[in-house]
Amino acid sequence: MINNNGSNNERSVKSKKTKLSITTNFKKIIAIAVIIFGLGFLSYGYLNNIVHFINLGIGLVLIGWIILSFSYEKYLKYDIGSGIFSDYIDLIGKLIKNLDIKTSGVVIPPRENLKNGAVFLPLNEDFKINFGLINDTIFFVNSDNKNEMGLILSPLGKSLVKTLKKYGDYEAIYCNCTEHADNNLKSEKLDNIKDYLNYSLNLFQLGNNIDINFSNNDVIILSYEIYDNTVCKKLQKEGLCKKYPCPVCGFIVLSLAKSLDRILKIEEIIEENKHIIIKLRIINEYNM
Amino acid sequence: MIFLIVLVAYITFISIFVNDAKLFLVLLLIGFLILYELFRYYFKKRTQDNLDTMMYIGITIFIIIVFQKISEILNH
Repeated sequence: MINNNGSNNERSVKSKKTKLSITTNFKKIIAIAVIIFGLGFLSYGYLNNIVHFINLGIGLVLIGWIILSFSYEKYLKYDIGSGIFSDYIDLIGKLIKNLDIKTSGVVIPPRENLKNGAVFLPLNEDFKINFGLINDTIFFVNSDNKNEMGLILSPLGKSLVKTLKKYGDYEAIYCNCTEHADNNLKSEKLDNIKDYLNYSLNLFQLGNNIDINFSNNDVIILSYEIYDNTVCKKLQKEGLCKKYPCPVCGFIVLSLAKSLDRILKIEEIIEENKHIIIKLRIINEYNM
Repeated sequence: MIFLIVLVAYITFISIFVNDAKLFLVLLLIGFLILYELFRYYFKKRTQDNLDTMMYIGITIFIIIVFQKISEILNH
């Protein structure tokens, strides 16, 4: 069965490759033919002093050159980024499976000892975060108290946050929405965060239509449309989404955690036809 | 594809009606720049890089033509 599937996959990959090379070669041949025609017209026009032929020659050379530069386009359809990322996810997935971690991830916003924030994967459902034990260099959190034990992973999507920071765009969403803040002010700031996340997703060409809703004051339901869900499918299949979200969801949750300055527990991440729903719970660190 | 169709139509049009190769080059560069500016966001990064090279070569040719014209005027 496995051999059969393997050979089928091999065949489909081979046929795809052949199709691709035929299309690319066809484009290249046409481009070169157009350039040759152009050069022919150019030299004929130059030798016989016919301006229209010279013009046509120059134009054809330019068009040929443009077609030639388009002919490499197909190669970029293979997303190298998601390929590399999927290898990394395999490693993390294996680690989580081997440690038998069944809890979902807790996103910690950047703070003094965690400059880029972190994703904490507790070993127990009834967990506690001891910030004295956590810093950027720690991977396994070891403690006498079982509830404090877990993994500290660097959040995916932090590079997107860094990119925004580099261009000075990130500070725009920083808000200190305290529980005692005026409701109008809070909703206004949430609108700002929503607009900003929408802008960022569009900027990185990752998704759009983000919507953030608060329910019961400590549950956030966030939804958005993702452009490319190939990574989502893989993560959903392995049940890794809510444990260690992909760079896109990771970026959104990390930005939200930072802008609210709250620790967020990922309750659920659902993907259906490129529509993502993220359910988060705000954790009050002072009650922990 | 739309970019190519519009460009081909434009080139055909100006190559028929323009009687001077230098003027044709200038008009071609202007048309190319306008179209490229309109369509550049739909192109992949690699295509954009290639078209950027083309654009710089076009601008260089344009500068040469301008300098030639200036020297012609000064020599008169």
